[in-house]
Amino acid sequence: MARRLLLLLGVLGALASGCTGDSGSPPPGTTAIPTPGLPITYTGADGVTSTITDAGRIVTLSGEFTEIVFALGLGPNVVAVDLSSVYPDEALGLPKVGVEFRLLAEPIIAQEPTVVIGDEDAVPKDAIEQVRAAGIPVVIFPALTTIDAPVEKIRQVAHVLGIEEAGEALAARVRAEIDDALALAAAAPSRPRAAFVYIASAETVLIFGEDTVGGAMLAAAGAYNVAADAGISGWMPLTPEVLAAGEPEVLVTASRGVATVGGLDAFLALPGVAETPAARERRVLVFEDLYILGLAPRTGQALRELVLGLHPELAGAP
Amino acid sequence: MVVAVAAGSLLIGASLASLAMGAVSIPPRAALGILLEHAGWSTGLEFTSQQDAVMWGIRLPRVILGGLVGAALGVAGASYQAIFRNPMADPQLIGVSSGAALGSAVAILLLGGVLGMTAGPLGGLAGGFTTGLLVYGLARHRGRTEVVTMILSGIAIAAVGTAGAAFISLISDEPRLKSALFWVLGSLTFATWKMVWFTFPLVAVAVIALPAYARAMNVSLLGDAEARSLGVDVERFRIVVLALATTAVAASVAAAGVIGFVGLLVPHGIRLVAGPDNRLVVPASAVGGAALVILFDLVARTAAAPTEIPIGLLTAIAGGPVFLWLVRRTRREHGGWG
Repeated sequence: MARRLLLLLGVLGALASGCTGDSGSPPPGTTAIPTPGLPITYTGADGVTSTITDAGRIVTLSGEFTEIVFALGLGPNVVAVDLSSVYPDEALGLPKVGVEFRLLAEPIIAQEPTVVIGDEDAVPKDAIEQVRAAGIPVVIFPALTTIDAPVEKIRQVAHVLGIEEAGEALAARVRAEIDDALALAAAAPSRPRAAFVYIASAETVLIFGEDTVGGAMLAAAGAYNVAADAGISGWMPLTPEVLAAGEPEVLVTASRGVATVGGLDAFLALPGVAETPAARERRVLVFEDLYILGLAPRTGQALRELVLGLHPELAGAP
Repeated sequence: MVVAVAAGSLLIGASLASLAMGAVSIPPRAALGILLEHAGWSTGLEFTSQQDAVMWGIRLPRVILGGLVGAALGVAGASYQAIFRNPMADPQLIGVSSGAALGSAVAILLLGGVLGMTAGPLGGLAGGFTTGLLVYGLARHRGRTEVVTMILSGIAIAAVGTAGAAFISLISDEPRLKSALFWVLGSLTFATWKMVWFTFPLVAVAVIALPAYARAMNVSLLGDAEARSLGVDVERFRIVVLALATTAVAASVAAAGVIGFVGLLVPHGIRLVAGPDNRLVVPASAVGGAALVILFDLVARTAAAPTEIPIGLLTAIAGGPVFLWLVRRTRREHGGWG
């Protein structure tokens, strides 16, 4: 449920980039980074067991996995990504294979990948089966939405790509960053009322329930999620009154949505948003989408920024 | 005859173009080798397993399903226009497509676990028949079709059907249901061999049987009394044709969602070239519809690669102006809609 937000990002990304994506031949002259731990046999969240023998040509099906593969040092092995892959910058220039929630098999196969990685949000399954029928292993990871997900995902990705050592190192670093941010949040004396909203369009403002990525980030950062008052689970389109009635002191949102409605002032004037204490005090925390919602290697940093934003009294803390 | 040859060549040309084009490059020799290999004839023509997976697993079922869907919509459009005695009868405009979409979505949601793949087509049949009979009952009055009633009933039914299907797409997790666009604008993305086998018999029955009623369609244009005097059981004929055409439409909707205007574009295009004789218009509409949908789908999947344009968007852009032209012409000929 929660991860559908990233699907939305994909749509917006597709529109923003004008749906252009080169699906032609692989880039010449790239030298693949060796992956000593292969071959590996792995059973994915969809119950399908695949054997990965070569990680020389990787296709990623969502932005968070692109980020993880690059952070693991295998960026040169990535030959194509989905449209939600906006980080790091090197990924922006890569060929695109479409969007995670409306995959097409042929653009993926055309990249001649040796392994394709994504999670349970990658659909339709028929397309994935068609890629597998071409003899290409497609690894489907579980869709995780807790604050421990980044560490878990990094380990899984490193495992199937045969670089467990690099995976453990990155996982330990990210674990430490997240733990530091959690400790910082635990030290905060206040527990501000907050809402995580995502703007799909001026007409569609979504609010994150507790069981979503946005909800997990709020909880980890020591905020009270006002969506809980309204009994919201998953994410759902917001009726203006629900948000106003929740009286959030702080609003957290993602930057692409703010740009969609035409900037921060336009965002603060949206029905429901305008009536909140947060809007009156202009206490709005805006983060880049994949940074705050990716549950990927940068999550510890994002969480720390979120904690400091929610608890200004912590300013100057180590 | 010329028209039949032209429509046939167009169909073959569209199919070959669609099989040849896509992200993975497959030279004609490799394509031929793959097709012959699956036909049980090993040639020396070289191809890779990747090309085989794309040609046999992705493109061919998609082209065949597109052809079936197009044939269904074309032949159904021509038949509806004959039995409603109205040039504007189209599976989408009279609401049958949307009714089938709602039936299909409800069935996949509620019965998908029990019936599996058959839930979609069965629900589509139920929804399509219900709406077809409803529109027919509402629009027929003293032996003639009230055009305004037919169109207005269609609008109302389409609104309910589309809204219902969109609601189901909100609450469901099944990918095909989840896509509200699928039900409104259609897509052949979900083409698999399994889907082809479920769609084929339902469309085949209509495409084979409907031309047999072409003479009755011609005669009934003279009026019910004249038709009866020429030995046509008018009411029975209409119901059988309605059922056959609706069967084809329902199967197409279950496979590819609602693709509008094909049932309007194709028969009128053929009448423009070859005149109004249904003995030609009905079968040629099946062939022409197949060619048109395959062509539109080729554009839909290649123009914005690596994503797809919903095919219904393309058919609507092409079909909307034709509909307006029909409205104008009908108004001129009949002196208004009053």
